[in-house]
Amino acid sequence: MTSIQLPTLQSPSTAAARTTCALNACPAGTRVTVVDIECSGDEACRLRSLGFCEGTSVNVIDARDAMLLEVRGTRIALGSALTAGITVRPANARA
Amino acid sequence: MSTLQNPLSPDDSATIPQPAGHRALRVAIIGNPNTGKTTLFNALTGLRQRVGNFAGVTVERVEGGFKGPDGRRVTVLDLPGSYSLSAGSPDEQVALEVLLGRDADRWRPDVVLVVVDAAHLERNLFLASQVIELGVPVVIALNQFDVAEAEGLRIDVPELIHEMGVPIVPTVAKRGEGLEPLKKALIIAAELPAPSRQFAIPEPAQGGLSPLEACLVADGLSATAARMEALRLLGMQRVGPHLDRVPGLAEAIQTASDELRSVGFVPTRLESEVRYAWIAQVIERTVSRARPADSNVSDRIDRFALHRVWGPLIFLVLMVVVFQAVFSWATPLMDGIEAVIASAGRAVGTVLPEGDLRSLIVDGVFAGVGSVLVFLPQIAILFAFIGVLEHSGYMARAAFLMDRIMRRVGLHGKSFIPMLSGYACAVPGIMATRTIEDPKDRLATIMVVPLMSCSARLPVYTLLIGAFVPATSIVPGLTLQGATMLIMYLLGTVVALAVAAIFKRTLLKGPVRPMILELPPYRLPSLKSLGVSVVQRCQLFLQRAGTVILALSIVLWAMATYPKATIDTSLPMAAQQEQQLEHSVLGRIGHGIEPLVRPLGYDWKIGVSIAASFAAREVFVSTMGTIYGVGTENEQALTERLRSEQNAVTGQRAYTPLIAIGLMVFYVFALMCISTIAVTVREAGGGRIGWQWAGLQFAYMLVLAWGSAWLVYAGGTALGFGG
Amino acid sequence: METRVNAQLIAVVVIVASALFFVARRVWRAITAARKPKSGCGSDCDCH
Repeated sequence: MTSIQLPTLQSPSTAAARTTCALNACPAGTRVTVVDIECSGDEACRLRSLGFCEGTSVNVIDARDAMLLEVRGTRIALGSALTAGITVRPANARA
Repeated sequence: MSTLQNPLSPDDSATIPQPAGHRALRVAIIGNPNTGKTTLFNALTGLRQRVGNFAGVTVERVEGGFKGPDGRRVTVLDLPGSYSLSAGSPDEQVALEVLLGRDADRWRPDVVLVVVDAAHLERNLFLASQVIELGVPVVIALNQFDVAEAEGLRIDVPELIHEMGVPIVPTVAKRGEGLEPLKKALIIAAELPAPSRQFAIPEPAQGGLSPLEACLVADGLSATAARMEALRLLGMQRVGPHLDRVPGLAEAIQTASDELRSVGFVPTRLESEVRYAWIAQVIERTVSRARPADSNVSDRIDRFALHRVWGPLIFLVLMVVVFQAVFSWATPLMDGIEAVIASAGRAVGTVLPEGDLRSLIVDGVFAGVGSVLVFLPQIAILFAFIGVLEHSGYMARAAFLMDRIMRRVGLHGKSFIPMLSGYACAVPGIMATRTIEDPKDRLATIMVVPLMSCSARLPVYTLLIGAFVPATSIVPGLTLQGATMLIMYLLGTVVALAVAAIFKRTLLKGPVRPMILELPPYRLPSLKSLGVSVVQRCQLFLQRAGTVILALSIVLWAMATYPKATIDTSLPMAAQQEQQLEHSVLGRIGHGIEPLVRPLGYDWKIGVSIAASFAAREVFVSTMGTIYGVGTENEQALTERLRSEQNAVTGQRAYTPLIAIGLMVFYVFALMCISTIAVTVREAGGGRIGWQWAGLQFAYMLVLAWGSAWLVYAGGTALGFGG
Repeated sequence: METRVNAQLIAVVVIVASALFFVARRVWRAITAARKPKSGCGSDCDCH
């Protein structure tokens, strides 16, 4: 049985003070880390099963109305209604 | 909905599997979409598959089989592609039930085969990690291994086996590589003890989960499956029908969540966090890159395919190419088939003695079925193109591009793929709506899919366009005929979007779910796999022609031949035929219908053909073939007959280009397919509700058809196009 | 001559009757299959 190390992003409040923004505000070509996903349970569940969860690193490939993202090696398109509710931290920002 | 027969009976899926005996080994296949799961399934089972439905739900059930290397029979059940066992959609719910041995059919797998994309291991292992904990022996097929190697990935398979605790076989399904080792692994795995979770959740979290797990074990789940379910239930809105009757479950979940929160965890995120943490470790120990990943081909293609301007343009050009090809490439093949059938009919005609039987065979069977068989090349080409678009990965891009437009009418990009499938046939198109999670969006899509001109309409369009639209070239590569065809298809599409918009604003009002769409990497479609699916479709088409259309042609022939009129032999041949036709059952029905179709400019013969088409659209052509073939001594091609035919009432030409266009428009909109109605009933919920929606669908489409045909005819005549 | 005509007529009647039966059965099966979702696929999935 291996023991695992969980990522340190456990509660949302610790991230509040750091530089975060909504996903749909990030331009193409940026690399971000997901901080919080605010959407209905069903959608959050789908996102997580696609590999898109808190603490995941995401590449923004294309940013327009719908965003094209790369998550864990997979290309996913997300609608704007979703990306507006996802909080992320740009990779180059100091934590 | 499936129900639990006896919630307290122990679930024995974790016990030692049955010894190799006379019973076939049962394998269930599961995997993410786009992993080549279907290709692997096809490679294992060949074309011998049985398609049905899971009991109680509208999820497709595909089962096949093969003979194992030890001679034992193996049945393989293909479960719907899922990203996880989250029970968020009917597909995933059914998969979970089957794997737990709790589906309504009580079909319990002996081994589960998880198909994993070697090139996208990280995401794919999420599902695998869940399946491993179910208490059933597992084998992992590391598929598309060639793609992974080509991208420079080096996977240490023995180490991966060690980490995951299950047998893993690298495969390249489209080339048939790795199949024999895989078959052996499946048989061996059935005798091994079931795997279980390979990682430990941090103590405080595990403490919070234990009571919930106990609650599930009390219901009959095995200890390991209970652990998987407990983790899953924390993040779920939906418990899943297989756990509906568990006493105290909701409270147990709540308690566990509260406990976890008190020790600093977020319950809804726990599962993804622990699983991905473990997966990250596994990947680190087993996967390495021989060379850095460069901006791969898919990204570069997507720069154009998804470009703001170029994207839609490329899409449009592709569509034009497909339609022009379907119309023109098939022509020489079609002529060939027509010639063969005509000479076969003649040959049979000379053998049989004069009389009704000969007429039945030559004018009924050969003329009727033959006029439909002729379209086999077109259908093959259409299915081939759609197959290429799907397998290459372009379909997802098309859905992405269409998302914008779809949203305007209240649908989303996911509705596009069912609609595109509707171009081939509405039945699989309607079934493809299962991927749409929102029931209202799904219903709205189902209601408009039949407006997409399916392949059965092709014979009608081809006949009418071939007879009445000149083959003049508009631009190089596109003729007026091809353009007319394209317009008919576009008409259906545009109106479909409009109708969907109306539905979403009235009966099916509701917000549109945001889009979550995976764009798989582009790949070269395997010609073999494509060939297999095209052949399968053609076989189904031929089957349909050989059965339904044959039967209908025979019935229609009988209706056109009996009762026999006393013919005035002094009249010219054509008039004699006329007499017989009018006296027959078919003729009387036709005259009865005539008042309904006269405003559209049709005479009773067209009316009869339309009425007969409600059984199957292709029958329009064969009915016309029969009507004009009954009693004919010489063979005039149907098109020539159409051009020269005279309307009995007005004395003018029965078929003018205007009438032909109006008729085509009628066929664009009318729902004339029993199969579609049946599938709509089922997918719209079955029973009374299903019938109501199907009835509405039929009615609005009929109104649309009649109204538009009238508009074309009356409007065109008023504008001076008539005659 | 008489027997041949009769044989022909019988052949025609048999063929037409079986065709009618086939069509009727298919329609019936489609109706019952659609009435409630149940296991197994009737003849109504023939397009795919």
